[in-house]
Amino acid sequence: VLLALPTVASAQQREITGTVTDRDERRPIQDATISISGTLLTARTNDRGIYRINAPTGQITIVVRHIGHKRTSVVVPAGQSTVDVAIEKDVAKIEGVVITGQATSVDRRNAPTAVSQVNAEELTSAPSTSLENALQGKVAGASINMNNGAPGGGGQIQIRGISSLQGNFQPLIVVDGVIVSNGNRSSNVSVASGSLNSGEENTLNRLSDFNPNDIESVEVLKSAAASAIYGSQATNGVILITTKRGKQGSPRFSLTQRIGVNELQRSLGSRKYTDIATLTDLAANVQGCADCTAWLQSQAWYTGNNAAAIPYIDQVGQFFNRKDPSSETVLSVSGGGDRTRYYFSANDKQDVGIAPNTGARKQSVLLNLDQDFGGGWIVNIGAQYIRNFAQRGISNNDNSNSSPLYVLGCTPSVIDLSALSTKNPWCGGYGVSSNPYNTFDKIQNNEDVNRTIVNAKVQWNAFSNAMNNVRFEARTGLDYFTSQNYVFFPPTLQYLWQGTNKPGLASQGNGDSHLMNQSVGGVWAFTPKGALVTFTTSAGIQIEQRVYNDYSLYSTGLPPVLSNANAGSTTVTSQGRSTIRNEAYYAQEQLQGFNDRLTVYASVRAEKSSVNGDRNKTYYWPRAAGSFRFDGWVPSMISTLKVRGGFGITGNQPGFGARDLVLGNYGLIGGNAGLGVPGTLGNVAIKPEKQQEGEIGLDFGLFKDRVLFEATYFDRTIRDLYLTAALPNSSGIGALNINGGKLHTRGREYTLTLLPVSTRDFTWTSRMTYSSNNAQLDSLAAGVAPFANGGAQRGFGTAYGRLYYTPGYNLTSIWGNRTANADGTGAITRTVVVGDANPQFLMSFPNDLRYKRWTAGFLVDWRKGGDISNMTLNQFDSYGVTWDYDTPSGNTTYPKSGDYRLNSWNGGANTVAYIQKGTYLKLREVRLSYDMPSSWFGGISQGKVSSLRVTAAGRNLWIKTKYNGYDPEVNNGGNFPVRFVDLAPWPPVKSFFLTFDVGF
Amino acid sequence: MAQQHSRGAAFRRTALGMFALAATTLTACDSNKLTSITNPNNYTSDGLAANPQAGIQLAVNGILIQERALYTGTVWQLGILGRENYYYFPTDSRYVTDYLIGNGTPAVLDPGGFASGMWAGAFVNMRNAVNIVGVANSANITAAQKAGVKGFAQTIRAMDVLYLLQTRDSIGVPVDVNADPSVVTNFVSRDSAYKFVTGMLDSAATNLGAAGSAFLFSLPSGWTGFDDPAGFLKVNRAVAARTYALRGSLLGNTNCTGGCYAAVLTALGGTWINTAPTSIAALNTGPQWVYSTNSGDTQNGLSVTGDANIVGWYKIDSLAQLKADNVTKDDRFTRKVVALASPRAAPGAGIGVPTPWKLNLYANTGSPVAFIRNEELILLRAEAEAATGALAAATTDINTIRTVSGGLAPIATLASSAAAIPVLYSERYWSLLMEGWHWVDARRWNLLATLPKDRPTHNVFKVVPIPTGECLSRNKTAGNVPAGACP
Repeated sequence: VLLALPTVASAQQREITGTVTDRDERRPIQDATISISGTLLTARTNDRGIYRINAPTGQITIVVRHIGHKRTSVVVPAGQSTVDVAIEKDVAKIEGVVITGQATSVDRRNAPTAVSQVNAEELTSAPSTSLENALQGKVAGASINMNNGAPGGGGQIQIRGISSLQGNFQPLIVVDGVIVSNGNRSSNVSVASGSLNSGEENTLNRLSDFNPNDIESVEVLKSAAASAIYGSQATNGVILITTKRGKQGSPRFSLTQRIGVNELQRSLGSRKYTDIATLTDLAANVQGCADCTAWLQSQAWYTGNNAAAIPYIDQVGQFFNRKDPSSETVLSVSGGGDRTRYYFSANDKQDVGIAPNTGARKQSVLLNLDQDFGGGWIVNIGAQYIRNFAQRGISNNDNSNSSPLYVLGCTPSVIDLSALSTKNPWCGGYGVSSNPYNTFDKIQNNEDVNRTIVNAKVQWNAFSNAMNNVRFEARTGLDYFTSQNYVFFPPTLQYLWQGTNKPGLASQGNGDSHLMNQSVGGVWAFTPKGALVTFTTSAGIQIEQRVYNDYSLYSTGLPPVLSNANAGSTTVTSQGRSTIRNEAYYAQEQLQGFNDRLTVYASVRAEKSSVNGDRNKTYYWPRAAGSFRFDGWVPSMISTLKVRGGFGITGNQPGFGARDLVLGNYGLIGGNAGLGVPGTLGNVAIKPEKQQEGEIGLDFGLFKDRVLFEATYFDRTIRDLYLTAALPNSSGIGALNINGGKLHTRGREYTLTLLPVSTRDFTWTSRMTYSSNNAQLDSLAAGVAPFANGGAQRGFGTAYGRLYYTPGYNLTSIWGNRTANADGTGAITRTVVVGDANPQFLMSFPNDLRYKRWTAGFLVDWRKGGDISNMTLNQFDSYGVTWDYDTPSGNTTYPKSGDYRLNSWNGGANTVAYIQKGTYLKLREVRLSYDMPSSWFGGISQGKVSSLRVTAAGRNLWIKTKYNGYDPEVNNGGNFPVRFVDLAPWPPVKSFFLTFDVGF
Repeated sequence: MAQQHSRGAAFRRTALGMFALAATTLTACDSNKLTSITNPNNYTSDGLAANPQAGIQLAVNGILIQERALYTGTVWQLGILGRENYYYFPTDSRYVTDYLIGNGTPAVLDPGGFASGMWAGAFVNMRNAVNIVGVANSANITAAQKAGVKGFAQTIRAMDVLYLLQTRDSIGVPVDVNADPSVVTNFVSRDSAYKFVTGMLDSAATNLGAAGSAFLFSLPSGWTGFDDPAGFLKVNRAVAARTYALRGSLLGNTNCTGGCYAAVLTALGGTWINTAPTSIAALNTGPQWVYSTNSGDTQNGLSVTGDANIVGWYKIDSLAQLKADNVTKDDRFTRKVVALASPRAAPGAGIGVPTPWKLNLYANTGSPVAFIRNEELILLRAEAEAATGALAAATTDINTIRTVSGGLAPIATLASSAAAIPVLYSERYWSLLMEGWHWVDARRWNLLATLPKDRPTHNVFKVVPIPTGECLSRNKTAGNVPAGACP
């Protein structure tokens, strides 16, 4: 960035002009940067690839750079005034810059820390429900999982494993310098479904709002040596999203139209009944009918007692079978002149859910403006408005037979529920009838988010000469959204939920989130005369504030027709507010030199936060990193060789209110409020968790960078763990907020990029990423005994496996009961490790091929290991309806697999019976596209259309796994550090889309 | 270009000033913004200390809210163990397996399972009770007012320990909470805990006697007649009568100092007992937990329109005695049990049995629940009379219940103290249905074997285990858990 600063030239002697083209395609390159080595002189190409630059006399070297192409240097002899440059595609992604500070960056080739960047092309290479989806398999060291297959997406990004037991576990997300929210709010569906938390309600996390089409690049700061610029919010890594900006030249319009379908990724089928005796037994066990033979014969579906006469319906496959087309339209325009550049886009995306009456719609507009006012003043402004609307029905854990997999998991394949009026006599007996088709037809569960994000950056290049370059920057950003959740469960629903609530529920809940950050800083680059190094000094101030206001109103006992939340017989209101403020100062020194071989930086951030016990105390977050390149000093076969290392200390803030000594609000009695000891005791000494991480890495390239390899090892220790430590219940207090103890995570990440073929007509890029890490708890705070955390996200008790924080064990250990014998008999050992949710490794294999006008690509994801508590299977087994129930088990007492599993589980005495490996191999993405020659459409469009491309692409088209469920990727509680609960998920989808890209 | 240069210099000065100003603005006024952020969502301890009288009132309400929750949470669970009711949760079979089947050899209730609760809530209120006494002691109020708060709090503490004894019985229980919540208090034996309860109740009675004519605080509706020190003392004595009876049935009358059952009779004399009730209403007198459908309040889940998962034991009709006509069932059956529109099956296949019954103890989700009633007091008196040899008096009291509550024929005078046990066992089942006593009665009278098993896989359990969480956080090795309490 520094080198590209526009500057005032004072000693120009000649003008050089020329055209920059793509070496292979021979098309002009727009918006390439041309600079003259050893000076600060720069220029850009226009839309015909033409540049014009003032240059000193004598022999000079010009350097041409463009994102997506390799940097190219050309020596220009004195007197030459025309220089055309053909630049080579950067298929292996060795170019680009990476962030090193609030206002500084370095060339990617010099980066001292492991870098993960995903560019625009990669993000839109295959259809995706949301940004998380588009990132899957593309970031080495990040585990990215979709929570399920509901429309609208929503998923989790976990960088370098677990960094906190009970504190914040999600990475910080920054869009164009604005810290944005990735929260999700409760929809109150739990009141009707009996689910236990907002994750189970399957509301969207807010990262899903962003439109991948608007994103230029996603940079993931994994190591503490990189992320410590965000201080006490950086422990879980930082995701920097940069939106597209205008390019110099006449306006270029681009229209993308996608159309496609989503389908159930894989159907497992239902149990097939071949004799009526089995059904009679089942009815007796489930129904308790006195005369089950007569009862069965009275059923509408009953046509006789022989195998052929017994109907078979794939219950899950039939319910999740909506194939209406989904579509997406993106229109963008980009352009600008010397001084002003603009980028505008509008997007409308409609995702059809595979279940009846569900879907999602995202609409957004984005405008980015860049204005150079001259005199070194540059202003960048960005604004986007997003509407994200989702109707995702019900899924996950449920306590009322409303979640489809719960109901279909107790309904044998003989009854067709698809007619809305069909009563389902299974599941809980005559008294409780539930038909998910009826439920999904009648309920409303609408999540409507209106979001505005604006950012402005004022940059002033105050001073520039051969030795000094001084720049100031002021930035302000705002992320404001209102999330409105409207839930309506009419009293006419066939299923009546249980508990004290009466049928008929309406809920209106709103959450306002207001995040603001501002910063002012300065950068001074100093290159002493004759010295081989440049010193870049930067310092600044940052203020950040987050204000949340969440309020809801619901009522039950609604009369028919009325659907407002005030209409019921019982009304419940709630409100929660919070304000968090952080203030920070930072200072950084960066050194680069010795022919670009050495890069070193060190910085410190001093920070105060309102969430800390002592609000006046300043916490310091230092870091340092360096890299050295040996290129040219090694045999020529080795084209690049770099060693790098870094160290950083980052923090993780305690939650709002953790410091406050509050009393519990117990509600009312006889109209009077009451209070008492709180469930969790506040702690006035609460402070951030402190992560210390060291990272080392080695990058090398062979055969002119046809083979590139990056290896990284990290070792992090997190101290002062922020715990809500369970106290013995006999103390009368549930838990205590406390800092203490230690955990460590170690891991490795490898990336191998191969360029087996690279000719003018044919290129093939093949990548492989590998990552593995393991988090272990070393100790807990003094006086804190090992404890299991409540909450369904941490598992459903010992019977199904849960997390139990014990020093000396992996944080991902799943704890439960185990019997002496595998069949569930024998003595029980309680509170033992029955599995480990951590995968042994994650690998991905992205491949890109180009042959003339054809391009193709595919991405394969491989996860090895990682145990899952398969509660979905337990549900199906409990009701004798599992797809593989009758498969021989090999056990003589229980020859049927379903029966054997259930009995060997023995009511939870042997948890391990439903713990299964989550290994999978998935074809995440596959695509084929064709760039039509202009001769095909040039005549018809009268030359107005400049490009036309057709793409066919699919996602999750193939999965191979021994996991006996819909997909080991799902997680019942939504985003959570340890994902291992598969409980009645919305089954994941595969999708197939056709895309037309038109440029004009 | 030259012009731009000179303008640049002025520009630079101005611009530098602007950035400096921006930086100053960001920092100067902000430290105040950061430190003044408050938590608007909860009461703070500071807020309470500022106004102790209002604080004590809020804390009293809180204690009663928690005590109400303890009652509700206990009775439906003990009802499952005592074969009075089920909790047929539609999507979780553990409400059957964990209460009626258990696991292990011999089978026990899973300490990590659902039937290991009825634990934490009692300690929460013990701590609340300790705290309120602390607040009262340091508040600027009269000695009588302090005694009133203390008498109230001590009675609650005693009731809480009694809840624990109902479920943990022979394991023993901790009876106190430490000021430092991370320090656990030791378990004491069952009998020591009973003595602790009666001692605490007696101390409370003394304090209530010194509390003057009115409390500093008011008690919610449902406590009418029991909301001043004299009235509250009656509740205290009723709980004392209950406690002495439980202890007496375990130890035998003569093993308590002065006689456990003599103490029951003495204590009952201080209550609102009406031994000649003429109506069901007269049997139901006693302090009540009140419920409502207001936002923030609790609804009566035990009511017939409340928690739909609470259903009656599947053969409850077979336990009902017949009236003199030998056809009509006990009024208590008719009054308290209704048929479901259609039978309700147990969740999961093959673990429970369907039931056609629903309990109808309270009319709706706003109906109050009397947690200790005249009917129980009369039965406690009958039990004490029988145990002390006053068989005729015992028979009279039993017949009062049989005729007024059940519409049944009177029984002939009991032949012996021992003969009273099966009679009381049955009468208490019906009179105190789903009030938390049948399983406790079966245990204290050594009649657990008579509890029926719905399926061959079902079991009858003697005690509710100490929950795994408690065991683990006591770390097992600390030596403060009785042997066998944490399997």
